[in-house]
Amino acid sequence: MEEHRTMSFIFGLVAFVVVIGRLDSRLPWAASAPSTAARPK
Amino acid sequence: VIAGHFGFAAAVKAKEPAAPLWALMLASQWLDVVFVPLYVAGVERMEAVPGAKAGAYGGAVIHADYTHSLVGAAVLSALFGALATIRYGKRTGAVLALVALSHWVLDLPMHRADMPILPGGAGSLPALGLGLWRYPAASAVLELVIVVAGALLYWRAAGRVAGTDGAAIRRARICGAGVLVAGLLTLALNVLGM
Repeated sequence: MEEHRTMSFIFGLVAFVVVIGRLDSRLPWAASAPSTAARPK
Repeated sequence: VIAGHFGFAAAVKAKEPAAPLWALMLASQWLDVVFVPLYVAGVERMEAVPGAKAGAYGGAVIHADYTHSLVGAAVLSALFGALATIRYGKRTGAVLALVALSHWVLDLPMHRADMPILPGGAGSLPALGLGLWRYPAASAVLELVIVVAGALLYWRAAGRVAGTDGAAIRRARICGAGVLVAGLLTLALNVLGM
């Protein structure tokens, strides 16, 4: 990747994937997600 | 396009709460992540358009003939989705595959006609790209709209799942603000040529 795009790209990846992604994983999203588990017959 | 992809992923998180945010964000940049080693190896490259200042926002023709070809992007997206399916199941795997492919779709209006259909530009088919980058201000505004819209949708969804739990509400607000601020900073760095 050209040098001039490196900083914005790396900053975005670290901020969104590592920092915010980790914080977000502590929110109770599972409670609002539709269950994909197999239902008993 | 960098920030716009993150904004789109944030919007998807609002609609698909089972998909981890970090995986959505990574999926949105997956084609560029694979581009990096190919660029270092000299397989894919970028060149400044004539007359453009080096490093100018949108001022490059990107010869990413494998990662950003339509078929190559579809294959890479399917691979990402397949790996995600193992861990998160079929639905989330499919969502992540589509988000990975959305990278190509969002790049289409921005890129000059430098995105081939077949990997390596095989078949001499016309390369695609609508060239909005010829108008950097318009491109930046479009990315800004996607970033802000994605952050707002994410903010509302995070607030909903936080419910009445004070700690969760605080965390949701931090995450929502983080999505907006990180998106704006990413866009600013990109527009400044950094």
